[in-house]
Amino acid sequence: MELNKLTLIDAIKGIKEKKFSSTELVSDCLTKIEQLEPTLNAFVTINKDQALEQSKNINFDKPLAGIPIAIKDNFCIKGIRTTASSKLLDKYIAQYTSTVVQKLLDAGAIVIGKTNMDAWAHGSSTETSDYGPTKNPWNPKHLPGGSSGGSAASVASDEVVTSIGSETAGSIRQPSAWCGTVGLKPSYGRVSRYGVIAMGSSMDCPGPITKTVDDAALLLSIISGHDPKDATSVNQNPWQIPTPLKDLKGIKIGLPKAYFPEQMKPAVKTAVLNATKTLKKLGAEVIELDVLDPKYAIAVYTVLQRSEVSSNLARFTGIRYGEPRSAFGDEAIRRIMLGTYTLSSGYYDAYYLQAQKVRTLIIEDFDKQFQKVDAIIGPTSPTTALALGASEGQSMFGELEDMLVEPSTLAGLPGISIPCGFGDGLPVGLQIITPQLREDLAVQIAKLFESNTDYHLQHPKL
Amino acid sequence: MSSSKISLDQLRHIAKLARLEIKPEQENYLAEQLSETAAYIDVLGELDTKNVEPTYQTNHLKNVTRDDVVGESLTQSDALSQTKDAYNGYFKTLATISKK
Amino acid sequence: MKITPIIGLEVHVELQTKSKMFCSCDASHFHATPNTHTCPVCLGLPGALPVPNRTACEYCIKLGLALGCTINNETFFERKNYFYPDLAKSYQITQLQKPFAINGKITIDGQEIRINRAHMEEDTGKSVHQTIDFEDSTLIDYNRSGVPLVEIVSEPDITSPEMAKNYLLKIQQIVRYVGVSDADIEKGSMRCEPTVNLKVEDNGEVFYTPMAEIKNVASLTGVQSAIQFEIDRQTKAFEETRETKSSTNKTTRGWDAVKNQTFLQREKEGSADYRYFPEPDIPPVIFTDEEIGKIRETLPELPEQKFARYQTDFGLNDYDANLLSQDLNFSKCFEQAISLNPTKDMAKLVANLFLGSLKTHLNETQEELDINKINPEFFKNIFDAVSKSEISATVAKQVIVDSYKDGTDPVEIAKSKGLIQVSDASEIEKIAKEVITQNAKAVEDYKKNPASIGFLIGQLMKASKGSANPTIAKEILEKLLK
Repeated sequence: MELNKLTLIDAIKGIKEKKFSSTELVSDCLTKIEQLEPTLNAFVTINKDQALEQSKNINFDKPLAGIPIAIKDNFCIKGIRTTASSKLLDKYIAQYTSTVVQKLLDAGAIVIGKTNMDAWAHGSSTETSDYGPTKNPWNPKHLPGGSSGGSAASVASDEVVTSIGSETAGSIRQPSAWCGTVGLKPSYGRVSRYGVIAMGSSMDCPGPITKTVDDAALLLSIISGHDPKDATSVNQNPWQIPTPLKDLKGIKIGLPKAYFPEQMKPAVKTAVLNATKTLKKLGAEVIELDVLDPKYAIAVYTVLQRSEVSSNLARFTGIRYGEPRSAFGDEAIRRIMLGTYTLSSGYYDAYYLQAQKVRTLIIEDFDKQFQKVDAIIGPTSPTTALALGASEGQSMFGELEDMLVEPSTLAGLPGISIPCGFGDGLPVGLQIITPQLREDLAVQIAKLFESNTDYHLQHPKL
Repeated sequence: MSSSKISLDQLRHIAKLARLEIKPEQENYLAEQLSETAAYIDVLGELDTKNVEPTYQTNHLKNVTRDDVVGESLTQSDALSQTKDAYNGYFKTLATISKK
Repeated sequence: MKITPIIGLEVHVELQTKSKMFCSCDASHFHATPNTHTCPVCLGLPGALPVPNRTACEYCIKLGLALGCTINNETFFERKNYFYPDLAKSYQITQLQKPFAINGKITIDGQEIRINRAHMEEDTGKSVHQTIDFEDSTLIDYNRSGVPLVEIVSEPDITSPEMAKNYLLKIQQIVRYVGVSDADIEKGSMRCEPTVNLKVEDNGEVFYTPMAEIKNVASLTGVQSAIQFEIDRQTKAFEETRETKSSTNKTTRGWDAVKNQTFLQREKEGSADYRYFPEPDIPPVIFTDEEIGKIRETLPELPEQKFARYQTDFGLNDYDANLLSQDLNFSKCFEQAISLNPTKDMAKLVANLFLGSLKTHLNETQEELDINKINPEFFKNIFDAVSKSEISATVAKQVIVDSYKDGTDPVEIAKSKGLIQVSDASEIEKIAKEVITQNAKAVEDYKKNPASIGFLIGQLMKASKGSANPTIAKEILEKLLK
């Protein structure tokens, strides 16, 4: 039946209407996973027996009744191996469940497996995983992006119907762009971080990676909400799936000149400019924007993220869990070292403090831009999926690749990436950024664009 | 006081602070990589931030606290379940301070 | 060479909240089974997040107010990063740039000692060193990890081990008065770390010796001994090396209570770079002036204020007022005892009863006064009886302990034991005559020195089992011996 090819919403409908059973759906997914994993390597752990067992006994009243979901391997799930794709946690069985996963389980979902990622979420390629890189379903000689590469690849290849990832700067949006999926990074604080292995504490955002915009909007309604266990969790403007727009009349969309850097791939530029034309046809007014040079965002992000990483990874000493610190991989070592340096005595003011101040300038710049426009668009990534090996030996691969998403990350803004074209057979992503807690507008614009194009209906040949 | 070249002495000092063991054969390579990154982030110095306040929190939250109520704890066996070395209910590790 | 010690004290007070500082685990840990009060947060598991305990913050503010501090309306937490097995996250959440309380002071014997700050932080787990299977091992219990601590830092205004001891006793008294901790140094709910250096005046020049922070001082006498040892050691070291204080030669030393000496524990402060930065997981905490005012209203009368009040309102002398106001429970019992007649006379009598026989009784039984056994009516009764000369002050002291123990009216006890004061002159004269007969030598002494009548009065009181009215006894003896 190939039920794994369904979207989330169609799968929910099918189970509720008893067109097929959860067990059939789970089985189809597992079959596809078994078939493709030797090529893709999207999963670190496949929860086969438990998933099948749980599929036999579902509660039809629940919103995600019997739906198998792939979860990025930095989400703790009690009793299930959680590694963050690092050998340091190779044998770690989580002792509690993250809030996001608990909400999904409470909604009736089934965890089908934990997906591969850049180790500790350090990267934009999934190449730094200690379990080998995940391959891009559109071309297995290429990377899927990262750090949620496994989640994006598993959705793009129809191994699963939907997945959850996390983003610190680009880790949901960028692999979605490279794999042709929808990736929704919520506003900071919209979704609880409790139980997600911390990377950049002031920036981490769990969020959905899905086949359609509607799927993402639905998943967000399950996983978002105030969590008393997360002191940075927002307690206002709860998420509600917005009504679809008929057109974009009256909506002003900004297109920053600086989001088209010289090194950008021509095919990406073409696809995004075409997308802009589509949005204009739908009634939007597109305005060119002069924004703060993204190079500052790269520096700010590098300093703040690596500083927070150096502190967040200090708890991994091998005393209470995991392997000793000698198990850290090269990228983790690079980041911890740089982060330690930027926080150290004599350097704190010039680096960490200065970065937090420039962060204020970035936020003020967005405030200024959002006085002129309702949403900002641009390419999610300056390139399409790079080839395997592209990230090796690079001192700052992740941060440079994510230059177009870092500004919005630093400001805590929401962003969605949707497929908008192809270049050499590889997908191109368009990102839509909106003000804080205004995911609704991003989703509305994305949905309208999606309904008027067919990129989301195309699938890789595997 | 920003310097973009990281010396081996600095590297070793940072590694000590971070409790990371860098193998001698990796030291030069790592110092180079870190120097590259340090050079890049020096661009931060270009902007005038004299009258700018730092932003530590992007969602303007204040005053998030909890009431003084006792909740559930892990069982001792759950707490100890992931360590390589437990002893009589304690976590065990090799001694770190030797008294002179 | 003139040596002036410069001593600062850092005191950590464990707050008696129900739950821990950043999680809802039970904060009590004394003698609990190891690692049974832990959770992902205080165990430092991957992905766990801290949420601050508001009551702990209120306690810190309350303590800050009692120490005369200014309270910051907006404060935030920071991470202090270092590696140690009992520090679960390898960073401690504490406060640096913006503590809850700053710039306070306390007064000891007329001397002012300034308080730099009082801030909130979390405690570490407990590690025990043990040799297991021939290996030197460290065993760690995280029950204490995350318990709220208030750190009180004094300015280096202390100049002697004795003053340091008094400072610590004062802090302990205030903390217990405010009721936020039992501040027990033996149990570890109050810990102190002195930092010592010396001002050396030599031939018109002034030098300062390098600072030393002393850890692992586990008792009041230990603090004094450690400070004295350091003063001596630094004096000798300066004589030998003339090394002076610089920004890089502060040391950390451990106190060895067995060998009675400090030993070098960590090298230069420079290598302990804590890389403080604001805690990204916790938004700033705000207390408005109004909220701080409400907390101030819950402050009890502090020892100094009570001491002054006992002197002005009750006319008690320094010594009595001090002893009665030192301990909060003791003073509450005293105030309850005099509550039906809070006059100076009543206060004086009750003070004598408290500081005399009741205190002796408490010393014997090693107990605290139980306020439930302090019956104000009984104290009023005994005061009335003494005022009417029905009971002598001596008898009052005798019966009050039995009254406290049994819960019976002390006047009834006096009656039942036949101790009601005899003021009947003829009765007393009978006894007086016997006493004179039995104490010929004392009579001789009296004839030579009338001031020595005290002995005979004493014998008469003894013979009457304390029930004779001493004033009348004296009159009668004098009359008989004329």
